[in-house]
Amino acid sequence: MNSLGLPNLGFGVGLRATHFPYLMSHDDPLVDWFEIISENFLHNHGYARHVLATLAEKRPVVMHGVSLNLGSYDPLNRDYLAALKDLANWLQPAWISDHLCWTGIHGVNSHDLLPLPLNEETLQHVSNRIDQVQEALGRPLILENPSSYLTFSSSTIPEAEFLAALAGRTGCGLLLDVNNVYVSATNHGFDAQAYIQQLPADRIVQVHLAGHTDCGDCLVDTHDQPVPTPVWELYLLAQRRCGGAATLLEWDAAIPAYEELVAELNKARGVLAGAMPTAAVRQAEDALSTPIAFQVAVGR
Amino acid sequence: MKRDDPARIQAWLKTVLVSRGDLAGKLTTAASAHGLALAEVVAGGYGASAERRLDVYAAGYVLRLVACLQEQYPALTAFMGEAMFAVFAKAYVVTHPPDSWRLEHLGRRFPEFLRETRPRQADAAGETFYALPAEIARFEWAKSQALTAPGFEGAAVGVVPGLGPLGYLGEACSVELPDCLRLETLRYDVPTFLAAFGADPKTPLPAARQTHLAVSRVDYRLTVLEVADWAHAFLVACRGGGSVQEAVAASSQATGQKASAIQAYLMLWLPTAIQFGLLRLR
Repeated sequence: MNSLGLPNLGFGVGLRATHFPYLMSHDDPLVDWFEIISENFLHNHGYARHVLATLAEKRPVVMHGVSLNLGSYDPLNRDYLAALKDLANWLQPAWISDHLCWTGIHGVNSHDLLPLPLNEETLQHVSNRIDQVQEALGRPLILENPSSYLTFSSSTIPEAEFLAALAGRTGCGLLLDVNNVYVSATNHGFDAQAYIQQLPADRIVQVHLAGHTDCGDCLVDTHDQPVPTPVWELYLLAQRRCGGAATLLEWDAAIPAYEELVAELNKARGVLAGAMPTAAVRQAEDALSTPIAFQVAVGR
Repeated sequence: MKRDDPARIQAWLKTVLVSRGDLAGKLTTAASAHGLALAEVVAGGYGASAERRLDVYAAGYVLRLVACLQEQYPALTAFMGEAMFAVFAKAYVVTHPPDSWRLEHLGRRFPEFLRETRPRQADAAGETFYALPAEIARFEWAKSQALTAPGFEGAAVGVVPGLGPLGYLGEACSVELPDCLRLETLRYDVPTFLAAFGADPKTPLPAARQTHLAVSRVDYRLTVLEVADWAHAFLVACRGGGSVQEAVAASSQATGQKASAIQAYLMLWLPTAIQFGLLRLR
């Protein structure tokens, strides 16, 4: 159990529109819990909201956001925060998470998870904003490490140390995306295992799993294929460190049939039982990071 | 402002993302706007070049949003072809960078963008060819809005108990429209054309015909109903609230038809309107 008192929900998947037909025609969703992209439901009063209400009666749900814009130097969007709180009041999620990143500034929203310089100035800035978010939501925020492709000349604090400091200053929890750790570690040349060792284990509430693409000169976080072996190895390390945290498989492009998705998730159960999957990383000349088109499908 | 100010660096990166041109052009624009060069901002010394690292974000920004627009406008993508759609979608993204966290708002100005950027000097056949994409986009945008806005699900939408057909027209009876109702007046019969095009991509382009559409939702399923000009005017009038009689009067004024005729049409049409989730009576 983490120090925030949040439960280990077991093994879950990200709720995607392409799986609505399966989930609405089968009583057993085959997984322990679901994670939604919060923004897909904040102003959606159509079928997706109906599906969510149906599933929430069967399984715990976690709200995972992509628009808090925590690292930005634009003011926090209070309308967004209010909508987030309204959805939480209706859904009663197990927790609410978002990313250590910024998504826009000066009124432009990139719909990407952009990196920020990591130094004492930004640490104070993000800490203050997490405090405001937690006060607005009335609950601790769970913060995810992003994948990244560049670092800044003005960065002075390693990312794991930065996250640990945020957790210490604000009381927030951590969503450890082991695929993101692997992607960033490879792209920036740091030790992925040491990164995980540096995080405060008692703050790790959830672990994300996903696949990525090897573009030769860098890894790109594509969420479009099975989890490769090196990421499973980090997953095992993370679970051993934190003593068991909720596991979530993300698959956001080239999304497989629901049973295939669940089969991939169930490999996580096998890993914890000692069966390490053998899966190579797909190679491609180029790839699109952080696919989001699946989110539009929720409204169709 | 100091050179390593985080807000300045974010403004620089935002400019790189949203500026026109290739990466070199974007960097020139960002350097001019913020006085920062790539080498000052991005750390080097390991693996891929700083340019390559930045381009994962710069190229990904456009491609990601184009993919979203394709998802938002599937019929238009099929009509234009993916390559041609992408040309317009990229131009749109560069012209109108997203200004909202609501991804579903990304394409809200796309129909207008297509209308504004179509060639103006076309003959009759060319006019249809160039005008149709914007009309298809308007229809698809209306559908996406109708699918997600609040509807009448979970509420009684049928006939008011004890109210006969003539009762609909009484002063006491008012009409409520669902938030999900979208009213569109298109220059072509887009739904009929898209159905034919879906079955046969060689379907001839349609002749111009003003088409009033009411797009709504019943039990989470999309409904599309072509409506007469008087019914369109009636529904527009109902948006302002008031009684059925007041909306009839407004429809009469807008269309030049007698109120008595509209009342007669209304008695026949209201059950269909209710069935298609366009309104309910109170």
